[in-house]
Parts: sequence; structure tokens; C-alpha cells
Amino acid sequence: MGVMPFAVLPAPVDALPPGQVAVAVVIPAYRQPGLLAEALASVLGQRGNPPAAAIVVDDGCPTGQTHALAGHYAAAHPGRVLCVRRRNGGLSAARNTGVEVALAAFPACRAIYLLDADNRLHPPFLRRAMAALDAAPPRVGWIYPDIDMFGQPASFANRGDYALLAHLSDNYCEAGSLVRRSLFETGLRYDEAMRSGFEDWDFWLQAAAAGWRGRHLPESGFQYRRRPESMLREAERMRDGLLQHLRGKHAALLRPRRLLALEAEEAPRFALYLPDKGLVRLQLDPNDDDGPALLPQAARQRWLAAQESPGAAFFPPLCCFADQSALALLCGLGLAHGLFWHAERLLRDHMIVPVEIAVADQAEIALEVASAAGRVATAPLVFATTEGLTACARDTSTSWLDTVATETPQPRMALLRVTLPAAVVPRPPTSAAPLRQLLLEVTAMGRALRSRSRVPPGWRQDARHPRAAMARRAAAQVGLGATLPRRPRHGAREVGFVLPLLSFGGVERVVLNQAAVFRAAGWRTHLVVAGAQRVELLPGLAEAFDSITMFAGLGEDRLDWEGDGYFGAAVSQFAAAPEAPDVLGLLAACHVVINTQTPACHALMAQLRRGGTRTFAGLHVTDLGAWGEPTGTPLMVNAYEHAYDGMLVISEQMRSWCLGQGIAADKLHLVRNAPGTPLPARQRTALLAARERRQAAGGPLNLLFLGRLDAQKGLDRLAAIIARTQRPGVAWRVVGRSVIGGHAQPWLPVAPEPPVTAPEDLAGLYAWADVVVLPSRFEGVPLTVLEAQRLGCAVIATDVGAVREAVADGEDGWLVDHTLAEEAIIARFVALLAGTAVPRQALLAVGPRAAARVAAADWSANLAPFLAHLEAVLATDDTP
Amino acid sequence: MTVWIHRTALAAFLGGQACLLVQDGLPGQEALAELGLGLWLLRPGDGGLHVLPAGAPAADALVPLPGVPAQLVAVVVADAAPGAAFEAWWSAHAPGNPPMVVAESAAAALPALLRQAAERLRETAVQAARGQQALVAMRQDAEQNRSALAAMLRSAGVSRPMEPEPLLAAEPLPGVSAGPRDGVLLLRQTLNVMLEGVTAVALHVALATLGAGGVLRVRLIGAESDRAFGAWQVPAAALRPGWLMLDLPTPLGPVRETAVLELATLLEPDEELRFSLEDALADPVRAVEGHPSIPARALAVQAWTAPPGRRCVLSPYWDWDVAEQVLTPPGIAMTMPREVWAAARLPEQASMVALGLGAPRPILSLASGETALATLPWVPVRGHDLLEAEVIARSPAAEEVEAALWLLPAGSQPERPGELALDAPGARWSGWQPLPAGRPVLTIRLRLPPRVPPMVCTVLVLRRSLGAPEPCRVEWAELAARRLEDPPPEPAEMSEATPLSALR
Repeated sequence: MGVMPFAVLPAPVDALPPGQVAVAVVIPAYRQPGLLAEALASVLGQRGNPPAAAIVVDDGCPTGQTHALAGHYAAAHPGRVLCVRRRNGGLSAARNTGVEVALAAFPACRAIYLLDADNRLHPPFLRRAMAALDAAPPRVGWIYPDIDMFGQPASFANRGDYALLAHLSDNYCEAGSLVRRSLFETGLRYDEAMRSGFEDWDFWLQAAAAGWRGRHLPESGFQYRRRPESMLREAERMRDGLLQHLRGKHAALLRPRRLLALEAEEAPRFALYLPDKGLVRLQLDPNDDDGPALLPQAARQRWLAAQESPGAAFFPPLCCFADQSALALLCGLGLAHGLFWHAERLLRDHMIVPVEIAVADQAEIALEVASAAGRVATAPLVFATTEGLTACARDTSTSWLDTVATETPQPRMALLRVTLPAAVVPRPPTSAAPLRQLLLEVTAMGRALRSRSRVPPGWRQDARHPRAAMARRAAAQVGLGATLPRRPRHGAREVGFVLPLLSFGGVERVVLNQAAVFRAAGWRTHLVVAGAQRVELLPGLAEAFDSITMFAGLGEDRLDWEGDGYFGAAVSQFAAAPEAPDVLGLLAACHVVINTQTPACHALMAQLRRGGTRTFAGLHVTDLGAWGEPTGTPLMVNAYEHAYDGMLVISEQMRSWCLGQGIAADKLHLVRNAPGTPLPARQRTALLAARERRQAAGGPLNLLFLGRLDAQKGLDRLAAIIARTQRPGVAWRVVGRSVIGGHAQPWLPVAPEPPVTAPEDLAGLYAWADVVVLPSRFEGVPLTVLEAQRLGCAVIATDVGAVREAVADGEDGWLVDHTLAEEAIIARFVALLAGTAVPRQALLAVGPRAAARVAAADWSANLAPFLAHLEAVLATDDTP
Repeated sequence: MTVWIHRTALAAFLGGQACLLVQDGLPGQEALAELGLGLWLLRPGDGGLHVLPAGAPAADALVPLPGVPAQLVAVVVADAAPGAAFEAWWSAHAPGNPPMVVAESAAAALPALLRQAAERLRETAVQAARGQQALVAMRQDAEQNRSALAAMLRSAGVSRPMEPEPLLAAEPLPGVSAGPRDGVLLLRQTLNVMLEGVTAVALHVALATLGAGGVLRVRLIGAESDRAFGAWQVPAAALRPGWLMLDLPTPLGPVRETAVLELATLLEPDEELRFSLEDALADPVRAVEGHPSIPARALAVQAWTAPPGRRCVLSPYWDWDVAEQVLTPPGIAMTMPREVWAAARLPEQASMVALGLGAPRPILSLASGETALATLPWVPVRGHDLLEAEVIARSPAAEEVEAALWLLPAGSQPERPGELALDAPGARWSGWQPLPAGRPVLTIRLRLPPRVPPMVCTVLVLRRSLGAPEPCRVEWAELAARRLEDPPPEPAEMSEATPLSALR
């Protein structure tokens, strides 16, 4: 065997003029003079272009041998070795000094290589690395090698495309990389405060955050001296602390939105097989169509590469075989993101998850998990894990997988059933193509595996984690599980609304209207229903939200009522639930999350906030408990006030309450309610005129109760009021149903009509009514009041909550003192309705005045200050 | 305070030349330029002190001096003020203290400079002496290691050679091959395996119609260093459809590099040489380079490994001038590869028989009173001193058999005993040696000529005395070459025909 090339020192040659140096090799030197000579020899022994010069930075080495040796080399190789002595500052400082010297002394230097004094290079290294850098696009800032360790021999492969997402969890870019001059010229340097290690990782992440990327140099010939004790070994001992420091310093890179954007770019989560189109799309977001569209064979090659080299090549970890029209239907309803999220969760324990779309008469959307036996053959979407399909492909027997469509399938499966209203989908879409494509693909995968070259992909150990898991690992670093597969759009704001249910209640309609305003302002809006897998298809729902996700049974009911809580308010244990990371993943990419009355989710807000999300609570009303004590959302929010950036209060009354609780004034945003349904001005004018004509004609007095038939609404009072006012010339209607339940409902003298939600139906009800009665025990600012006022109804309501802010007693409505005795309250309602308190004409005269005032109420105007506030605070965020 | 330097002067200042830094304006400073040291001036300027080479115009942008050069002999100042400022800067930017010399003039500084220079010389001399001592220690260490390694290899080499372990087996796809372009065959195939332990590789020739002078050059490269770890020159005659075995003399040591095969030859218009491609698909990174194929495929190729020293083979194609392999230590038996045996010329009553995974060996059948020849026309022996043939009786009555080993010029093809003669250059024989009674194995040793050619022809001659009528079977089981530890000078009386046993 010949002499190792590292030891071959070429004879001194003519001096290399500084203007001809194309690559500078910076060698920090501290206490390793003997090894330094070897490093220098390997630089001087580089073969061919580019002309290279070494800069030895004696980092205040206590042994004079270091600078003497460097000086001798410099004298023997003029222009090819420089030596600068500096006061000890650590590895980063020494590298930075070398970089400064290189930039200043070598004007034609195109790149700088960082070589540690105990490492060495094979002779072709710089030639190849420089050629790779020259051939790379300008955003490639550094060329990184494989690592061949000597001393304690081991070899590590770093092949494959650079992936920042993987770099967030593993530092696979060796400090001994060739760095483009222009990268250093932007001012990027090694962090001199990081003296315990990982400063190279930090440097790469700085560069990546600035938009630079790395590129791997195959078979590079970088030689790393590994000894049982070294700086790296020391750093590994302090790994946890150093990682924590890195995560803090590079928090912007770990923002969930950034991670999702990276995932979409580098590691799209789904391989979406579209048999109708004969294509496979690799994409994160089912709503997107901008992921790479591949022919199945090309996709299979990628899959094959990822199977052979999981650390180097990527293929999506999840597959979805989809009927195009069914997928489009789900996307159009905003359900696809949530459905894919549910499928991902189910695929942790199941190999195949078919999706069935059912149709029901009710105007609601429902999601349930059911047995998949016999349901997969015509499922329009079939999800599977790549790992599971690969296992099947490796198995030469297909009998096991062939049972998938039978009543007794052997693979573990679960069915996701989406139920849609018949009004939306007259007939449930089915297709045999997805399963057929899945089975064909498994067969083709098996064939591809067996016809693969026996030349292996490489011999070095790949210590990196599989690329298929890199997005999941990065998300886990910030406490997230399955994230909603939604690709952030550059410049688009995202807002998430969290509700405990979506029925026809006022709070839901407030949220619906707020979301519509956000969306009209260019935001992407997302509804997360925590605690129900069934939502009413309220009018305007589809227009208000880009996505709708619902879940139940993931810990959202984990409220701890034991102990004292916070002044009696419950404490949420949701954050400790095993599923909490997944739920956080639903919301983490939002710029803003508004939690309206979802108690358990308060416990998630602090973590969302740490991830860069602005968190707000929607406060509507302080409830009363069984003992008449204040209770409900505001009290609980008060316990979690620290986790919220602010509160949206609908009334001055609620703002005062919050101030009284010690919440800072600038955290409180008054967003008043407005009528919950749209009503065109012409229709309104016509309806008001019709009522005026009817009342002038002396028709009967039409009385209306409209709302939830829950105890809060004073149903016992209502029953008494109706009983005492029923007589000829008076017509009563009660419209609504119980939502909360839990209390025995009193018998009402008038049979309740089912609730209405359509704007035209509501308008018809209010147009019919002369008076709307609201004998509630507690309220916020009921939409019923505002909507009734808009159409000229006289409103008689108990003076609770912030009703006073919507009704001026005697001016544009009537208030009944709620501090009176029950009998007196009922008597006052009866007196007003019977004309004994005020004449009927006076009673009704408040209606037109209220209509005139409410006509100006507008959700956009009410939300405008809050939106402006959000834009102002988000403008300072470090992630777009 | 900052010390500045002109950008274009920075490389020279840090470039390793022993230098002086002198306060600009020091009386007689020009004289210091005569000392043979680099002379640099220290001058107050904008923002602090400026460093500039003596006699050079200051025409370039200034940059802060990041540290101090390694070979600064002294800083000569006349005034305390700039000296103090420079010392303060030094303490913030560089280790230790500056080698200050305070003197009113250059002449006054000379004694101190001389002392400093002398001290530097002394330090350098001490370091040089220490360096020599270290070299001695390293040389002794290396020599001990080499001796130990040689002993280990000898120890390993005297053991029975190991069958190589398959490392890679890419089978050929009939009808699909890679060949020359415009008369040039230049193919490169990464094996993507580590070179450590590689003992042989094989390529599958699909088609070969080369003229007599044609030669295929094959190199086994370490991709990371571009070094050739194996090199073969395969003559046209050895290029036939089928697997082409290329053995390394010994398994490669711990070489942590990627194995790459390079094939090259020039072809005449009427010549053809094509190599089979693998019967499986490869991604572009693993496909053969130099021959675009769609879909991408690798060459059909095989590779084997063996532990260090446990398989020593003399490939007839091995190119000693290119590959960085030294000869194996003395005493190691270098066996002959498959292709040497495959070229055997045998009488009609002989056959080639393979046992286990080994290459087929000749088995000769001898009737009473018969003589038989087995010839290996091309036996590589370059650099070796001794040939050893192992003959094994495969049937009873072997004691009636005698054997002799003949050495003839390479390519000889004697067919009968009468054609064996000692008048050809380098010809010699071992003399008749009987198969020992009670032991079925006979080892015949034959000393090689001092100026041994790269190849010789080796002939095993067997004869059987008159006796039992039934045929006797004898196997030529092994042929190996060895270097001798200290080959004795060839005695003048030792004729070309002196048997090797005379040496023992």
C-alpha cells in the first residue's frame, strides 16, 4: 500500500498571489499543533483547481508550537498559508476571524472551507466541492460532505437533497463544508457566545433562515478524526441544554406555520393517487393542486428510493386513493382538511381507512368512525400508510391483502363516515376505483422491489431519521401532533374559531358573522368544533369558513371540578390529554385563534401562544349557576387570562366585568353584536311598511318568543306570561328547541315550533310579530333582540346582562327589572302586553325607533377596530 | 483603538515571513530593511494605528487587523505613546505580550533585535531537533507496525486460503449491454460498496471480438480519493463472453472508500467489446456511466471480499505498475486464479473437476507404465522466488506414481514428454519425486529463475511404473508462488534442472 495522501506534502512552489486564491481554508488551531500539520498538508496536497490557501487562526493557543508551526508552513508555502494569532475566543470566534481574513485578503476567493485542525481532506475534495458549488443555483450557500471517521472508524452518509425540515432535528451538515463567499458577505457569522458546541448547527440554521440552502457532495472524501473524548463528545453530553438554546434562538424556524410551509415544500404528507387522472400528487394540502403531479411509475421510483434510503430520500408517509369528484365535494364544503386529519390519526392504529359519504335528510354535517368491514370496495377515498403498503408489497403472497374488501378483512381498518345533507348531495358518491388502484399499486410496488438493482444505494451508515418522519419530528419539537394539513399561503392570515358546538344558538351565529367579516377581509377562516362531531348546516356556514373540523372524545371534556379551581371556576386538564398535541395541531398554524366558550380548550392556549399564535377568548355572558352565583366562560377565562392575548367582549357590561377582574384594559376588545342574519334593505323596508299597515288596520297583537328553550331563557316565566295574556286578539308563537338541556322543561301553553335558521324564515317570523318577549334570567346581547328590533318589533326583555345596551327602556323597547320578585317580573310583562302599563300604541311605538337605530348596526364596522389591531400586532411577527 | 491594515497588504503581513513592525519615522529605519526581515511600518492614522509595508504606497481600503502574524520578531517604537497604544490593542486582540523594543533609532534597536532574532533561532533549532526526535520515534513506530503487519499477513497467508464471501452480485440481462462510442470504450460503474476486504471483482462480457493486440484496462478506484486500488490489463485472448474474473493479489485493507470500476479501451473499426447490463433497474446514480441506457441499468458485476491476508491470488492481468499494492510478505503462498486453471491443456485421459466452490482442477488418469502431462501455459510469477505444486492421489496405488514440475517459457504447449527440454530460456525442472507412501499429498517446489519473467509455462509430468493394471487418478490440486525470506544466491553448479529439494 502506498503512502497515505494526507501525509504527502508537496514541495514549495512559487508564491500564490492573494488575488488568485479561489478557496480559502480556515483552520482554527488550539492545542493541536501536531495534528494541525496534517490538516495543512491535506490542504496543500489538494489536486487541481481551484487555487487554495489555508488561513490558520491560532486561537490564543497556550503552546507556542502552534503558531511556530503555522509560521513555518507559511514561510515554506508563501501565499498558500497565512497565520493569524488572536486572543482566545473559542471555535466560533476563531472561525469568524479566519473568515474576516479571507474576505479581506483574497478578493477573488469564491468560497471558504472550514477545516478543523484535527481533520483532513482527500486530495480531490476542494476541486469537487468547488465544482459542485459553482454548478449549484445561487441560493445554495454551502456544500456539505459525507463523514468518514478515522481513529474510531465509522462512516456516515448524508446523501439526498438538503431538507431544512430534517435539519431542524438532526445536524447532518458537517462544519467542514464549503461555504459560498456571498453567504458570509451577508454578515452571517458563527455565534461566538456558543462555546460549548453546536455552533455549526446554529450557523446553518441561521443561513437557512436567511433563505440559503445546502447541497450534499457525494463521495466527498472528508476525513473526521474521532477520538473517545473530543469537543463534539462534550457537546453531546450537554445536548439537551444546547438543543434548548438552539430551539429558543431559532424559534421562528419552528413556528408551526413555517413548519407547514416547509412540509409542503420538502415533505408533502400525502401521496394522493387520482385514478381518474392517472396521476399521483405529492401534497400536504388536499385542497391544493400545486404539488408535484407524477405518473404512477415516477411516484413509485420515489417510493423505491425512500425504501432503500429512508434517511436520504422522501416519499409521503400517507397515501390517499381518491375519487376526484368526491374529493372535490369534500374540499368544496371545507371538510377535506379535517377529514385528512382524522384519517392520519386513525392510521396510527389502522392500516387502511376508507371514507364513506352518506346522505341524510337533516341539515347537518356529521362525522363518525365505524367498522369498515364490507365498506371499502366502493369507498370514494381510501387512506393507507406507505409503511403498510410497503409491507404488503414485500410480501409475495397477496391473500392477506385480498381480504380487504370482504366482510372479514384481515388488515386492521376503520371507516370514516361523513354524513351530508341531501340538499347538498342528493346521492352518496361511490367509486370502485380507489381500492382497485390501491391493490394494483401494491402489486406494482412488489414488482419494482424485486426488479431493483443489486448495486446498493451506498455503504455508509445513515444515522439520520427517516425523511418520511421529518415533518412529524419537527412538529413534535414544538409539542404538536398531527397538524391540520393546510399549506400556509404567503401573505394570507389565518384565523381559527373554536366552538364547543355548532347549533342555531346566538353565540354560534355571532362567530359565523365574525368569521364572514374576517373572510371578507382576506383572512382564511377555520372552524374547530371541540366536543361534537355533528354541526348544523347553518345558513352562511359554507361562506364563513374555509375549513370545518370537528372532533369529540379527545379530552375536550377534561374539566377538573375537583378542589377549588380558580375561585370555583373549573380547571382544564386538556393539555395533559394524550391527544392534546393533535388538537393543538389543528390550530397551531393560525395567526389568531378565538376561543368562544370552549372551556377545556383554555388549557391549550398557552402553548398555541408560545408557537406564535395570537389567542383571544370570546366573552358573551356571565351565566348564573344553580345558586344564582356568577359562573360560566368569563370566570374560567379569567383563570387562563395569562394565556390569552386578549378578549373579545360584546358589551360594555362585559368589558367592565373584565376590568373589575383585573384584566388589562388594552387586552379588551369591544366587538358589539349586530343582527345575525343578512336582510336586504328593500326587503326590510317592505316588511316594516307591511307591519305598519297591519297595525294600522287593527289586527291582532302578535307575540313571539324565539330562542333556545333552555332554563336560562326564563321558560317558567314565559309559560306564566303566555297563560295570563292568551285571549282573543292576541296571538302567541314560540319558536325554538332546547340545546343545552339538563333541566325539566315547563309546559308551555303554546306548542313550540321548531327552530328556524334561514334568514328569510327568521325575517318572516319577525315580520309577523308585533312584540318579542324575552324573560331571560341572564343574557349577553341576544341577537334575537337586535334582529327583532331591525324589523320594528317591540322588544320586552328582562334587564339582565347587557340587554340594556341594546334596549333603552321606553325609548326603543321595554326592560323589566330583573331584581324584582318573580311574580312582579311576570306581572310587569303581563301589564305591558295587556296594555295596563302603557297603551298598546305606546307599547308598539318603540319598534320603529329601534328599527331606525339597529339599521346602522353592522358586523364589519363592529369588527373593524379589532381587525386593525390584529394587523398591527401581526406586522411585528417574525414569521409571515 | 483599532489597528488598521491595507486590504491588499493583509495576506503578506500574515504570510509567514519573519518581520519587524517599526514606528514610522524611526531615525534610520531604512537600515532595518537590510536585515532580511519583512519591514512593516506602524503609523498613527484615522481611527487608530495603521500598519503598512515599508516603501509601498497606501492606496487601498483599510480593514481592521484581526490579529497578529505568527512570525513577528519585534515591534520597534521610539515613543512610549504609540507603543502603549499598540500594547493595549495587542492585549485585547492577541495572546501574550508584543515583542516590544523601545529605541531612539534603528541603530539603537539593533542589539535588542539581534537578541530577539538569536532567541528565535534558538527556539527554532530546539523545535527542529524535537521534530527530528519525533520523526525517529514515528519511524520506529512505523517500522514496528510494518513488521507486525508482515508477520500477521504471513500468519494469515500460510493458512488455507478462504473462499471469498460474495459482496455484490448483479446478474446479466441477456441481450442488453454497454459498449463503446466512436471506438472508445469508457465505462464507469460505482459498486457503492466499501473497498475494505475486496478480493475480486468480475464483469460479464457480452461480446468480444478484439484483435490480438487489444487490451482492456480495468481499474478499481476509491471514489473519494481517486486512488487506484486495483488495476488489470486484460489481453484480448482473455476476453470471451461470460464472467471475467479480476482478482486482487490480497484482500484490500481497511479502506473506507467507495468502490468504483473504470473500464477503458480503444477499439479498431472491426472490433467489438460489450459488457452485459444488470437484469434489474437502477436509479441514475447507480447506473453505468458512459453508456446511456433507458431505463437506467448498472453493469452486471460481482464482487467478493475476504479477511486480510486470507486470500492471496496472482492474477495474470494484474497491473503492478498502476495499482498501489506492494508484494505480499515472503512466505505467503500466492495461489493461481480460476483463469490460469481454465487455460490448462490436458491429455485425453484427464478432466477438470471442481470441488466445492473452488476452480476446477485437472485430474489425470494413469495406466500402468504411462506418462502424462498437464500444462498451464500462462502462470503469473513476477516478483516471486518459488513455485509450489500440490499433487494429491485420488485413488490407491499412488505410491507407484512419480511427479515432476517443469518450467518453460510462457505460452509453451508441450504435448508429450519428449517436448520437454531445458534449452529454452529460463527452463528448469524439479526432478522426479515419488508420491510419499502412506500420505496422499506431494508438494513439489521449484525455484524460479533470478530474473523471473512475468509469466511462465508450468507443466506437471506424472509417470507410473509398471504394476497393477487398474488406472490410478492423481489431482493437480494447487499451484502457488512464494517469495522467499532470504533467497540464497543461485549456486553456479545448480543447473537449470536441479530440483528444489536440493535447497532444503
